[in-house]
Amino acid sequence: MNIEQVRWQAATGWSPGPLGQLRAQPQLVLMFGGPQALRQSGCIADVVAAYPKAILFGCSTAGEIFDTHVMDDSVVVTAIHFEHTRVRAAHADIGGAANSYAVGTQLATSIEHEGLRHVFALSDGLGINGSDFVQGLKAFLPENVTITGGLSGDGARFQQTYIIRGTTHSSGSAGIIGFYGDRLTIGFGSLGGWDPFGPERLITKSQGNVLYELDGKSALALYKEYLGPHAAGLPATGLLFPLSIRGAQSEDPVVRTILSVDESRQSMTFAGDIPVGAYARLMKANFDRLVDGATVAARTCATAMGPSTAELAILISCVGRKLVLQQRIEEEVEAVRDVLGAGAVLTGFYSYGEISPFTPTARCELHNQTMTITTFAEAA
Amino acid sequence: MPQRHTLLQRQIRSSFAEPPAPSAEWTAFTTAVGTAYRQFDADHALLDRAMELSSRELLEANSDIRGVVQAFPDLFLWLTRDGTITACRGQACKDLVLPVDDLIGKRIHQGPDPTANAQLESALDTVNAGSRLVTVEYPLTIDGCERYFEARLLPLLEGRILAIVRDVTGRKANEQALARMVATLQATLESTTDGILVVDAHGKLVSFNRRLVQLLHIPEDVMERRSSDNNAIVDYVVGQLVDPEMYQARIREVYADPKAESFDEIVFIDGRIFERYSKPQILNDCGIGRVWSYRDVTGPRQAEAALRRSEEQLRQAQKMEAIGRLAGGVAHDFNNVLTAIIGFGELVLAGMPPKDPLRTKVQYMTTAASRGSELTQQLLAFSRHQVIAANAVDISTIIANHAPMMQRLIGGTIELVQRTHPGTGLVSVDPVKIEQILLNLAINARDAMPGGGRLVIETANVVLDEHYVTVNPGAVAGNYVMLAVSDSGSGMTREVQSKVFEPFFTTKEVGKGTGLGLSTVFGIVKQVGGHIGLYSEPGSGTVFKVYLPLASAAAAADTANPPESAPPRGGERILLVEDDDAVRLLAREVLTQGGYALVEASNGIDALALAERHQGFDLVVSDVIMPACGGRGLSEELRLKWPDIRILFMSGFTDGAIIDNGVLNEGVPFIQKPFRPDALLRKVREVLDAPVRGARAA
Repeated sequence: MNIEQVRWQAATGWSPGPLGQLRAQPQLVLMFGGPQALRQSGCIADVVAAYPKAILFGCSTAGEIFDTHVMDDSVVVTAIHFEHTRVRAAHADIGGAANSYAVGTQLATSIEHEGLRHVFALSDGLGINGSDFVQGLKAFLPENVTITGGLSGDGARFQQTYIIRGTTHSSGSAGIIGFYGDRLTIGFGSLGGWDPFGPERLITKSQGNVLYELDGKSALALYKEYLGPHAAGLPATGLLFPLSIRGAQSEDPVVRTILSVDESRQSMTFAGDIPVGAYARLMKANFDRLVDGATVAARTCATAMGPSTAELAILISCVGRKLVLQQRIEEEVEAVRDVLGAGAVLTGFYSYGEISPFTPTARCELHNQTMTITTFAEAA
Repeated sequence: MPQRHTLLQRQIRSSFAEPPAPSAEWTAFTTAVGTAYRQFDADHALLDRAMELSSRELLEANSDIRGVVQAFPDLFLWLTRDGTITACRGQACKDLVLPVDDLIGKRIHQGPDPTANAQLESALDTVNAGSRLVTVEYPLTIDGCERYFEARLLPLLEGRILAIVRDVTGRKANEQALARMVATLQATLESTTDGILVVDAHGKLVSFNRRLVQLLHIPEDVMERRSSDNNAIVDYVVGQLVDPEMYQARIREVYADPKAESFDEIVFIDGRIFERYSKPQILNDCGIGRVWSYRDVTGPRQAEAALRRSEEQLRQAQKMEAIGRLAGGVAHDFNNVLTAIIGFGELVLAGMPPKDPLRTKVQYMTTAASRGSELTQQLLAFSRHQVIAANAVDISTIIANHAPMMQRLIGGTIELVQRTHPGTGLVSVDPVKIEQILLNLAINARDAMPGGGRLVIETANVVLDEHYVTVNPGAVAGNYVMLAVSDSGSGMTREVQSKVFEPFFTTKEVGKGTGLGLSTVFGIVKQVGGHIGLYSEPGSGTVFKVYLPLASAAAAADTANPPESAPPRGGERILLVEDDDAVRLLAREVLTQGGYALVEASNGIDALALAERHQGFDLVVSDVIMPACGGRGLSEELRLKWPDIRILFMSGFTDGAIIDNGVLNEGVPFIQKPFRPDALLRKVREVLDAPVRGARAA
C-alpha cells in the first residue's frame, strides 16, 4: 500500500508539496474538506487532474484530520495505491430522510458482493435518518462484510453538507466504497467517553429521528432549560448534551446527537432513531474521558488488526467532541497516534454521525459523539 | 481586545516581576491561554447548572416516590437478582408475618408458606429471564385467617428488582362474588328462550347466548370471532331480512342516542318473525352498552293471522247467509206474483183466438214475467232455495261436452286449456247446475282478460282435511271433486274478493252484467254441500276452486227424465188451500180446467173445517207458509183422521229450504212457485197416481 497525503489551506495552498507525487497510480483518493473550501477552492478539479484514474470519494466536514492535526476550512487529500486490493464505488441520491433505508439497500445491492470484504460509507449529514441508512446497508450486504463510515458535516452551522463523488460535490446523496482482496486487513473500533447523568426519561412522542416529548413534556424546552444562556446557540450547543438512548428491554445504550431544531413544531431532529418507549438520559462530557475514549477505540482497532500494523487509519469523530475539546481537540488524535504508531497515515474528519460496530463482534450501528476508527493494512 | 482572564493576570503577576514586553507571540500565547480558561469556566458553569437541575429533578423524583409509597396500601421491597430483600418501605408492613426489620437480608421466596414460596421463586426467574413485570397471587395464613396477596415484581436497572406486595383479600372476595354473579347471569342468559346479544358503547360484541345463534342462523365461526363488532352480525342478518333497510335504520337510530330504548318487529324472508328489544346499559348516567333481545313470535303471529282469516271468512259466510236469506225472501214473494202473472197470462192465451190483436201483448207480458222468473231462480240458486235435481254426474265429461261452446263464449284471443283428470269421481249435482257454474266462471274469466290470455279448467279428486276446515269456515272435511277455473287476467283486490259472491255486485260497466253470475255459482255450490275457494292477486290472475262432494253409491244411479207430453187431466176431488188470492185463483182455474172438482180455503183452519164438512178429498193442494195454520199443521191434523190422504205442497221456497227449516219432512210431494199450469197439472196427476205409502208426516 502506497499513500500520498496532501492538504490545502487558503493561506498556503497545497502542502507539503503539489498533488500527484505518488509513483504508483492510486486506485482511491479520499478527500475531506470544509464546505466553503470545497465550494470555492477548485481543489476537486486539482485532485481529478492529478489522479484521473482514481476513485475520488469524500465529504464536507466539521473539521479535517491531517496526521495529528485538526483543521477547519482546509482540504485533506489521501491518495492510496493498493497492491493487492480492488476498490469499487457506488452512489445514490437520497431524496428525503424518509428514503434513508431504501438508499442503503440501493447502494448495498448496486455493488459487487463477490470477494467483498469491507464497505466504507459516507452520507449527507442532514437530510438522512442515519439509523435507517445503516439498516438498509446491513440488510442487503453479505453478513461477513463489515461496514464503517460517517455522515458529512458543515462545521457547527448545520446548514448544508456535501458528498464528493466523481468530479464534483453534491448535497442529498450517499456513497460507498467496497474493498476486495484477501491480503487486506481491516480493523475498526468506536467509543464515546460521554457520561449519562440525571434521571432517565421515557420517550413519549417521537417520529423516526424527530423527538417531541420526554415524559410527556417538551424535549426542546428541557434542552433549553439545561443549556441556559447557551440555548441561543442551538442546534450546535445541543451537542453538549447528547442523549443516551436505552431500549425498554435494557439493551446497550446508543448515543444520539442533535442535528436541528424546529421551534414551530417544538421538535428536535437527531442523527438517528429516537424510538417511543425507549429511555433517554442526558450526557455530559469530561475532557479526559473523551480522550480516553479515543484511546480505547484505537486499541480495539489494533487488536482487530492482529499482527498487522495499520498503514492507513480513517478517523471519524463527532463534531460534539470538537465543540467540547476545542483547543484540546488534537489530544484525541494524538492518543490514536500513540496507539497505532508512527507508521499509520491518519486522515479523517469531524462528522454529524459515525457508522461502525463498537467492537469487531458487535452490530454495526449509527453512533454519535464517538471517535470511530477504521484501519487498513495490506500483507506483502 | 477582551480583558485578560483573572487567573492569567494573577499567574503573570506572580511569575514575572515585570510583564514581558508586548510581542505578537506573547499576545497570541496569552490570548490562547485566556480563551482556554474562559472555556473552562463556561464548561464548568454549564456542568454546574446541569448538575443542579439534575439534582433538583432527582429530588422531585425522590419525593414523588416517597409520596407514592405513602399513598398506596402496599409494601415495597427492593430485591437483588436472587430475591434477597435489601430494603423495605410502605404502609402495609403490619400485614406481614415478620416484622420489617426481620425481612432485610431474607429472600422473598423463603417465607413460611411453601405454595407462596414456589410462586415467588418462579416469578423471580421470569423477571430475571425476561426483564419484564410479573404478577403473582398467593394465599397466606395470618393469625389463623387465610388472606390473599398480590406481588408485582418489576425489573430495575443493574439487576435490581422491585416487589410491590398488596393485600388483595377483599378484592378476591369481590372477584369471587362477581364470578358467582357472572355464572348466574350466564345461566340465566342460556336458560331463556330469547336470543340475547350484549354490545359495548362502541357496538363491539361483549356477550351472547346460544339461543341467539340458533334464532339468527349465524354460523359458529362468525360468533366466535369475539373481536368482531356487532356490524359483522348485522351484516350476516340483513341478508335474511325482508326489509334490511328498516332493520339497519333502527340500529342507527338507537346508537345515535345511547339512552334510547327500542322495540320493533323484524320479518325474515323464510317467514320467521322476531320481536326485537333494545335496552341501554346505564352506569353513572352514561350509556356504557346495550342489550339486544330477539323473541321468536313466528308461531303466535301465524296463529293470529290464521284466526284473523278465519274470522274474516266467518264474517263473510255469515254475510252471504244473510244476503241469501234476504234474496230468498224477496224471490219467494216475487214468485207468488209471477205465478199469477204467468199462469193467468197462459190461461188468457189459451182462451184467445189465434188472431186476437191482444194476443201479442199478453205474450210480451208472460215473456217478461218468465224473465223475471229466471232472475228469481238465480236469486233462489244463490240463497240455496232452488230445487236441484241431483244426479250422479262426471264433471270431466260435462267439461269436455261443453268445451266448444265455452271456446266460442270466451272468444279467439283466449286459449282454453282442459286439464281434466280421467279418474275424477262422480258428483251428485244437477248437470244443468254444473253447466251454470262453468259458464259463469268462464264469463267472469273472459271479462278479466279483455286483451286475451289463458283459461285453464282442471278437475281432480281432493280431500279437504281438518286443517283446511279450520282455516276455511263453512267447509266440511271429506272427499271432493275439485273443479278449478284459472285465468291469467287482471286479478282482484282483497276488497273485490270480499264482495265478489254478493248478488248484484259487479265491477263491470252499468248494463254489462247482472251481478248474479258468481252469486249463482256460490249458491249452487253451497246448496250441494260444497265449498268454493278464491285465490287472486292484482295483476296475477284469479283461480276459483269449486269443491263438490263425491256422490254416494246410491246416488250414482241416474234417472232419465220422462219425455214431455200434453198435461194430464183428471176428475178427482181436490181441496185447495192458499192464502194468496191470486195464486189460489190461478190454481183453481188450472185445476178446474183440468177436470178436477175443487173446494178452496184461504188458510189451514178453514181447510180443516171444509175437510170435515165435505169429507173424501182425493188430494189436498196446500201452500206451506200461511198465517194461523200453515201447511205442516194442516197436514198433521188431516192425517189424524185420514191417514192415507194425499197432500201436495206449494211454496215459493224450495223443498230443501222448507225441510231444512223443519216445515216439511223429506220426500213430501212438493211443487215450487212460480209454476206453469202444465207443471201443476202434471204434479197433481203424479201425486194422485202414486201408490199410497201409508201415513207420511208432512
